[in-house]
Amino acid sequence: MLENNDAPTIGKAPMIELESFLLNGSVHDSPLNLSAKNLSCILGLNGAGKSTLLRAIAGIHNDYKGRILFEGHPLEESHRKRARKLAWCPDKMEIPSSFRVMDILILGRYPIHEGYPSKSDHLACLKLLADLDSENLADKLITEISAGEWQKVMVARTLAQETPFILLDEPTAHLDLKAAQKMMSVLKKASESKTILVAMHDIRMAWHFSDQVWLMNQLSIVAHGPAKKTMTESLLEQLYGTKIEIHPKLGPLASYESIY
Amino acid sequence: MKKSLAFLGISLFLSILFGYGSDPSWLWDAIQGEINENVSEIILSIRLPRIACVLFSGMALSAAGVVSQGIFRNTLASPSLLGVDSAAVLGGSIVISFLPTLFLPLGIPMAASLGASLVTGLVILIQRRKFRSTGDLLLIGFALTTMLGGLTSLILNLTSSVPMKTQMILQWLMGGFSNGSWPQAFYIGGAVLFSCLILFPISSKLDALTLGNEVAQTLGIDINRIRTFAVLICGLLIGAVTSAAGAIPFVGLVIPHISRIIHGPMHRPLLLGSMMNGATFLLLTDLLARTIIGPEELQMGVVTTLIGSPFFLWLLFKRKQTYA
Repeated sequence: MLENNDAPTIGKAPMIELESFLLNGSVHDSPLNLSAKNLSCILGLNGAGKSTLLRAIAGIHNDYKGRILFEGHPLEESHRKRARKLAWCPDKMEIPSSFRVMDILILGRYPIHEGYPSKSDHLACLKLLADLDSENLADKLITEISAGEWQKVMVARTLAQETPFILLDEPTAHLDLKAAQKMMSVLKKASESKTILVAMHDIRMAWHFSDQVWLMNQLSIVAHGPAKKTMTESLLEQLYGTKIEIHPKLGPLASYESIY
Repeated sequence: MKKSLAFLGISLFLSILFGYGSDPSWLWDAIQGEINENVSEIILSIRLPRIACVLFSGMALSAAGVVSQGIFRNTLASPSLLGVDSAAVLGGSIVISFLPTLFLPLGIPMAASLGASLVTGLVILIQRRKFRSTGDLLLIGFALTTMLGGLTSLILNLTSSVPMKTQMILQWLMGGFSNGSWPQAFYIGGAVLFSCLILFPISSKLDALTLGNEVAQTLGIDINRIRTFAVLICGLLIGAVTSAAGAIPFVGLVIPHISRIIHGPMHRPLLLGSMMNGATFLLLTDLLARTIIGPEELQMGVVTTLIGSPFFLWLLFKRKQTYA
């Protein structure tokens, strides 16, 4: 087992804690911690269980053993109370009919306005779009925007919920380079006051932006800890099964030489 | 929304004005104080209760359509395609064939509503197991419709020794509002009112459901509660209409579609608009059905589909970058 237990837990309860947690893999002897006001990334191959872990933490996937604690307590039973605490963005979302982008964002604030949105809800959503350089999307129909634009809308919808915990499943998968950087810097900024956990495949983004990483393989968390300490060449190579070099400035880079 | 209300007003006015047994000039005469006993009898005890039944049925079918499309997150999930109508028919047929005539006025609506509720719940349960796609949902609906239709035929076979019962069932299955009465109108109207009292407060929860069941859960929506409401309401509404006029397909599917193009997909305006448009549509088709070859009547379904389908196709072609 590759363990790296340097999680900074100075003096207070960690914000998210997995206690003898078991999806399907091996049990962890020590609880996994995710400290407060942090941007953390889950890395791993396709099918490693990143989405399942996020869904378990979000309270949607219930087929696991152990306990998930938020600030030392399990999630409340009441959906309404949960919704004020935790927001989740799936990797894809299919909508049966064509809404305006703004309608979707305002629906994201449902736990705040409970069905009766006001001017302030509207303004908060506009601000989120502006943060992602996407004010122009506000009045478009979701059937006429691109996959990348839809991804921004999904993430903005999640942030609009204004919860202290935010879980995002591959929020940059469809974004172009600039939009992806923008997205990560928006999330980094948000993590100054929120605890954000992101599943992603871009190891360089994870290296540069995240405070902590969880590395997953075959439904188990095989390593975790501060990003730059945990993401070592040997560990990443073992995880992804391909040659990876860590450049002092650029971060981890996959080497393609061995492939050809 | 104002246009829909205006159309509803106009069609209501036309429906009251025209009809077999009176010249449209009766209104002018009545305003001048000349009231013909015969004509007022026709209008008060035949035409008005029938119109009330039609009005409320249009609202009920459209509202049930919006709710079931919302709950299944699928714009093809209308009650008639899911077998809910057939279940109401089966419930009514069972009551007619096995209960004494005395119990029928209460028994038919109750059995129809019960059957409709049970099948709505059944579809939800089956779909929740593992079937997700539109195709799966329609196949489930097809299987249920066929099975329930078969059971209704079986009931008809079993009652063939009592011709009167068979006659009653067949007459009821033919449908239409020609026997519309005030008690029926009150029952359907009551069902509509009750449903509105539940539906409008939860309409934004139905909006949240369009984001997906799981996302809706993380937004604090108790999905099972909404599903329970939907089952009860669909059953009540479809049962009420079916017990009065037999199964009326088409309205519950097409009116919500049309209304989504006009009023957008948010459920509060969608519900209100659908109910008004549904009432307008059914009033106009009923008006045509009873006047076009009067004193004979065309069957309701003939007019509904002959007018509705081309109109619907036209709308589908016309919409470009709009809702729906």
